[in-house]
Amino acid sequence: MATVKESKIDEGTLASADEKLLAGVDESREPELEKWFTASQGQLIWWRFKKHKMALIGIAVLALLYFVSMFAEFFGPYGTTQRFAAYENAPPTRIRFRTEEGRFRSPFIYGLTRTVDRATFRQVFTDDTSVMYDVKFFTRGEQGKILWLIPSNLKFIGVDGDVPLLIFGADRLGRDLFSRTLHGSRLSLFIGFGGVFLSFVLGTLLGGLSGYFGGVVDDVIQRMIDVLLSIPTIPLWMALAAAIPRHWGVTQTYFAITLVLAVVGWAGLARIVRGKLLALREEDFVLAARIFGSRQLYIIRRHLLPNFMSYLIVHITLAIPATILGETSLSFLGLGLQPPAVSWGVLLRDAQNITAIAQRPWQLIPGAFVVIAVLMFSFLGDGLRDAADPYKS
Amino acid sequence: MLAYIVRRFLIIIPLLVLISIIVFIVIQLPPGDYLTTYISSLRASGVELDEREIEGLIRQYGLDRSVTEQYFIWVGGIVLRGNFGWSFQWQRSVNDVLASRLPMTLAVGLASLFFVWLMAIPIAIISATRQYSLFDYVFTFIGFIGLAMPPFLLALVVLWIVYSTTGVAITGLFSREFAEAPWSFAKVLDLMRNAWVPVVIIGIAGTAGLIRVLRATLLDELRKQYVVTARAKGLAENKLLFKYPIRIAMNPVFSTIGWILPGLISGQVIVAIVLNLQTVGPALMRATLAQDMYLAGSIVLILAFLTVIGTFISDLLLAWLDPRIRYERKN
Amino acid sequence: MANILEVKDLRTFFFLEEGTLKALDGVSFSLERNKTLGIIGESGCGKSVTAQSILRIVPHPGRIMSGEILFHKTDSGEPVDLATYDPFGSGIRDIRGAEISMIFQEPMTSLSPVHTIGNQIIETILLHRTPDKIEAREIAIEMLAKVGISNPKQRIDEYPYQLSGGMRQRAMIAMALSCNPAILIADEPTTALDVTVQAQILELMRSLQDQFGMGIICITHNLGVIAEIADTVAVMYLGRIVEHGTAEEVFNNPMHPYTRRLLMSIPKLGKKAGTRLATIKGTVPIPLNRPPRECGFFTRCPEAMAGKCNVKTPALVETHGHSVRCFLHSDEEEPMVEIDESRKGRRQMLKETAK
Repeated sequence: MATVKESKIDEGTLASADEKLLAGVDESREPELEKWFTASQGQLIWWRFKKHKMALIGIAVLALLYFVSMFAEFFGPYGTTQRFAAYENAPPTRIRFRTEEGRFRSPFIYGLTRTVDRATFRQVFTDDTSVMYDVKFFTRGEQGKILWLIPSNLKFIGVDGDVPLLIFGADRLGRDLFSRTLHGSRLSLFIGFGGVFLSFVLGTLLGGLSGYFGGVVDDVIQRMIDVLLSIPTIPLWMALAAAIPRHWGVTQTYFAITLVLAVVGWAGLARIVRGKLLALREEDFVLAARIFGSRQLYIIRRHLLPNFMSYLIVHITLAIPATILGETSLSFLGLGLQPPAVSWGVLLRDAQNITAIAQRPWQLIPGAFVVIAVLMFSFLGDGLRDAADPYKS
Repeated sequence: MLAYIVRRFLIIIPLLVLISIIVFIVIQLPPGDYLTTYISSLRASGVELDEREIEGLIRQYGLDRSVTEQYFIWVGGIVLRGNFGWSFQWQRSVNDVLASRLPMTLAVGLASLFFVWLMAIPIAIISATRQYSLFDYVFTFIGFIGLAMPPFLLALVVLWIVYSTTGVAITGLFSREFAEAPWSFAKVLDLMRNAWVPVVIIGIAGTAGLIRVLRATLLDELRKQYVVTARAKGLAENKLLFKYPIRIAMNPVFSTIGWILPGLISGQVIVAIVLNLQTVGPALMRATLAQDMYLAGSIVLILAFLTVIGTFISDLLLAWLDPRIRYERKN
Repeated sequence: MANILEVKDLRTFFFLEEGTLKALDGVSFSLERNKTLGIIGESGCGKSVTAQSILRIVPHPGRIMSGEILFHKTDSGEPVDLATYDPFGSGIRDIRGAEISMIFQEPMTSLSPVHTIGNQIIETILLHRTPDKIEAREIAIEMLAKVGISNPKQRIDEYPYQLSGGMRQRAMIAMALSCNPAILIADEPTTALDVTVQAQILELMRSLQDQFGMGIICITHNLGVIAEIADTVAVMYLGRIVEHGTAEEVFNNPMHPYTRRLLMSIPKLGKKAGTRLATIKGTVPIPLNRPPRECGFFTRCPEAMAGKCNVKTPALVETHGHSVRCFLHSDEEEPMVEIDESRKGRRQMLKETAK
């Protein structure tokens, strides 16, 4: 049976209905929503960023790389110049857990003996199975200065005995590639910061001036950016790097290379800063602030900076790997950092031709570090970009 | 359209002037002038130059004049006589050194560009239309690696893999028997056989970059209302994809020439050194190592010039393809 | 008069990561030749999905799970069930644009920006009416003239960005009507337009209906538009039709609490200044993982009856000349329908539709 009510609408029932409605709202989700609405921009970015798995992996791996590079004296068993005679061109040492008899035991290595194959005149390394050398953790080794300050001979890993532990093999002078790669990561990873910092200063300054003043200043700076962006990067780097005097020391060359990378790299950042500044200037909230009588500096600090800080951070994250690649390329060509300085690019220089690669393929390992570092920065940058974009769902 | 072409062309001229100034500054950068360096290096190797010869050289390069005048002498030579100067290292004119290398550079660069398009366009279309499929994931990952790996490193790895599996060293653009031979049909064939390695290696990074841009653009376009309109008209799915979203998403193919081309040329310089190609790359490296600045500067200038022309062509293509741009620029 | 379209118990679900979103949960209505049906509701109520379901252009991951969409090509012949068509097949494509066509909300984005409007109209004509390009162009020019675009011979070669919003919507209507469709679905046709242009477009649609005799389904959240153009009205809420009747009935004698409050939320001339306009508290819930049995409006309804509205689904019952779905008017319950939402069930459904 259908019961039918007459539908009558009058103001009285409406008012009471309103109260009922107010009371009947599903309030269980309110605190959660409240949290969203009152969160600061930083919190929002962090929440979105946390969802980006690849970016989290990126940040973890990068943290590890930077940590290890800072404590290279501790993690690398040897110094960068320590040479092992009779171990020139030696392949990576195999760490073993099984003895010849097939029993398991704590990690150990064998020494190598070098012979020359009479037919091909090639060096051949064979395991000398007579003595087992224990692989030890937290052992003592060559004296070094951790973080340039603390003298210490503590090593993360080492061998009990007088044979070398060559995790990545040795180069043609018998130096440990593993230790050299770890030490090299310091210059390679930090040149990214140096170069990007300089581009950042140049880029924000010139981009800011361009966007702020407009007119002739803008035109001039824009043409400069056009020019820089239309010159192929690597040839320009090469030509600039060629101007660095050969007799300069490591530190001087380092700063010169940083400068070279930054001189070419600021243009992209300046363009972004300018574009963003111009767009933000037109935003209603900036107009609102101006109408309320806020001072110029206050508007820049309160409204403009927070808005494009996120863009800058993203751009910087993506610019660091470009700088790392730049240093690697230049040093690889012999135009960047010079030995005895060690960087990934300098190390890769030893793998410049087919003979070297055929003889010592392990010399390509520093290249893997380059790829990993760049890849992780890209993941991180992508994650930051997605997180920083407030208009994305 | 004609007005647009003319206006766009007029922008190029100040750009080229600025580029030439920057390159000239770069040429002037090494401490001391190159002539002094050159003379001292000649002296060191036992060659004696008499005063008259030195004075002749100084006058020829206007070294006794101001820097501004030197710039105009240099630029004037290029513009009026097509004379790029003298390479001290090669003991030949820069024009002579580059005569055979430049066309080869251009050929490899263009071939890489076409390789980039040939690979990136279909992959991006499949990736975007089948978002989150296995294909999409695989190529997104490969794309990341392609962007993270500097071309010269890729060249080294390929070199090593091919060498360790087949024992063949894939270097150079020609097989040994054709290297010094005059041009013939057989030589062209030989070039084709050898050239794909550098072309692929140089193109990988650009391909990865373009896939990323195209895929994102196409994903955006696929969500647009006009796609639904076309579907509601009764158009078949493939037909409408190609006529509407893909057609519009192809714009980046042309708008990105501006950065893909310099990227390809940059990458090519180092790859050419690793693979020992007869292009400007190795010449540039030797020139910079020897501080043979006229040659180095000329190479940078020419490469930048080519890039500017490439960007110009890409802008024209874009305006021709997209009526919106034509319209915007008209007003 | 004869029905040209009958939708029966249509269910369209979206299979999202978070769960199943029941965009349409048993929608039934019919459309008569030469008449206009207005579908009204807030955003998210399923009105657009209804239109998409009829044309079988429901976007991924949505899928029609059950129900019939009967289309009567002729008054006497057997109807075809559009719900059984393959959404990518040629069967439905022959109907789209030719028999049933659609216009959209945003005239700005619903036309391709890089093709001339002529190109896009002629494409439809070539697809369904004539293979002759010259003839197709003539038809397109004629259609543009009919929708009131001046100087159509010149306008046909212009790009969308060269036209104003109203002109673009006219071009869109010309395209939709270029093949004399039996049904025109208009999804928020005037929402993005100025009020004066809105009136012009509605007037145009009405006069074209007199000319062509097509049935119109007009989807909107604007009650004014419905009052202007609709013969019958269906009010939708949370994937269901809650009230259905002639326009006069629904407007003059609204029975569902939702309809009533919807009508009260319109400002009226003559109302005393300073009085508050009634609003409906809260927003339409997302039809995601809702309890299987409930009246969707229960969370916002001031007259909700605990123990009834939150545990039972009312049926759409005809009373007083129109149908309403509310326990205030009838205790009748909607019969339970079992839908297999598992992957297997979805695949089964797909196989059946492919047949």
